[in-house]
Amino acid sequence: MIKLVSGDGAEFEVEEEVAFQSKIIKDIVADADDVIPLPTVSSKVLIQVIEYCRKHAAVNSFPLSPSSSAAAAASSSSSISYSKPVSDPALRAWDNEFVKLNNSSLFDIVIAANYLDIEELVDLVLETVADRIKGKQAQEIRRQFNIENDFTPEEEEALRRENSWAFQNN
Amino acid sequence: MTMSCTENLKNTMTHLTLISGLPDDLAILCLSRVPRRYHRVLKCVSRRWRDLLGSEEWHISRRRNNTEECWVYAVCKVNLKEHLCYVLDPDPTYRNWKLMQCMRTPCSQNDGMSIIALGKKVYLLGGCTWQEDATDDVHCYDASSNKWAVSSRMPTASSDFQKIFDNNMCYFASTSLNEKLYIGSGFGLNSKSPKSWDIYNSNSDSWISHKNPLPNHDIVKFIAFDAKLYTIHRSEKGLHYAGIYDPASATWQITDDEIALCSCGPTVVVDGTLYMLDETLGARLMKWENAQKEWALIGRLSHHLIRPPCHLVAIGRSIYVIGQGLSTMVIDVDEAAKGKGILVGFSFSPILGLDHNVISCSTITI
Repeated sequence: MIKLVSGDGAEFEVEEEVAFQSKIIKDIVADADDVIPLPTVSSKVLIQVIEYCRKHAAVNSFPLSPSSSAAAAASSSSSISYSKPVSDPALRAWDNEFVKLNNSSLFDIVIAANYLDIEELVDLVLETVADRIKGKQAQEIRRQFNIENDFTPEEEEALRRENSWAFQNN
Repeated sequence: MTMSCTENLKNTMTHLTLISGLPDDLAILCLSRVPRRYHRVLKCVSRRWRDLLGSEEWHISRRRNNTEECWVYAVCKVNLKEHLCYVLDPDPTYRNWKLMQCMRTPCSQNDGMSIIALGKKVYLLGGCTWQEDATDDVHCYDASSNKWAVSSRMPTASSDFQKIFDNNMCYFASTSLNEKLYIGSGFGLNSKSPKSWDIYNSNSDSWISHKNPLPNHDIVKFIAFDAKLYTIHRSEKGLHYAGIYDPASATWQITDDEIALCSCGPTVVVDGTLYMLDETLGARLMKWENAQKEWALIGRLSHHLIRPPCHLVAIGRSIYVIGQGLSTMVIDVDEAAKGKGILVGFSFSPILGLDHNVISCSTITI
């Protein structure tokens, strides 16, 4: 077992394979002890990150478990890629539920995941945020991400004119 | 209106970061996953976003994350007078030609321009009008900033104007290799040095002239392939031969092998392999076998789908055949190699008049 200590002092005991979803922790454990302080990660975020790692560690270590392959077969009749845990539809569905959070919670998670070097989690969160930008108008993006419109009215009009063709058939 | 201290601080913060609450490196990683068709909208969000999308940092991030997308740009001559530019996003969901209203070319009266893409830009070189002689103007369209600019003039005024009258002979051939443009021959009334090339370096926006031991006046085509430049010549007796220039060693070589036949139609390079659409007898897609020094037939193209003369561009392992009126067919070269008959592929035709005469096609990756 490995002990993770959050920035606010909470301790979390996790199995090695869960903690090793983070490449940084794997490296630290290799040449140090089993208590790992993570001063920049709050306990709220650490709980979410551990939850993600626990789920992915379980699926990754048993890629051919009957439940996951059955789920894969059930959700996609033509699926033949049971051996690929990342494309496991059940896990993907779980991931989709996991990221149903507001933007600022997602940002906290991705900052922690980036710090802990959990590549799959960074990808998942960034993709989710990018999906929330796709297809939105500028005004909507500003509102959603709390961004100030710092263009002058003249600049905005010029941008609109310049980009007019982009709005033709979109 | 009064603002509390925290609100003020918050506003200052939003100025500093692309997305408040997210470090810029992660914000850039995130934004670079947004598909290219939305980039125009992203540029309208804020100054910081607009500046990011025009920056080198943005292009590096797109490249590193493998999110770069290649679009096709076509310049059409319409009603024999004006040039219109169209763009194609190859994403299957959006695959259709769109008119770029901003790209009514600044030199839209000119004929016989040479049009070529290099980096994030499309260059329009030379050309002339009915009233004037060949020009040395160079205009370029920057796809990253969506703006036109004027580049340094060519040392030699050039036009392939003659092409229109003289049996498709092209006197002004250009190609690009390693971030440089090569202008093979300048047919203009004030051409000073017939045995020289003009080489344009996009990084320094400057031209140099390069002595050429081969005759320049009979160049019919100029291609970059296999890290070398090939000039295809047609002698006075109508025989084709090729010159090969190796920029690494700055050496010349003449060859009489079949590669010179690539003047029979448009060519394109896919992963280092040269393909040609031979338009002399119907339209046949040929592949250059570099070891055997010969052309091998891949398949025939039905002219019900594509109206010749065609242009070719490559995206990944697919060749886009673009005919008149922007009729387009996408051929996967690996699929095409399996059969030997009529080529099959996704094809589509925008509803345009027959007066859309495609004069150039190129790709830009962002």
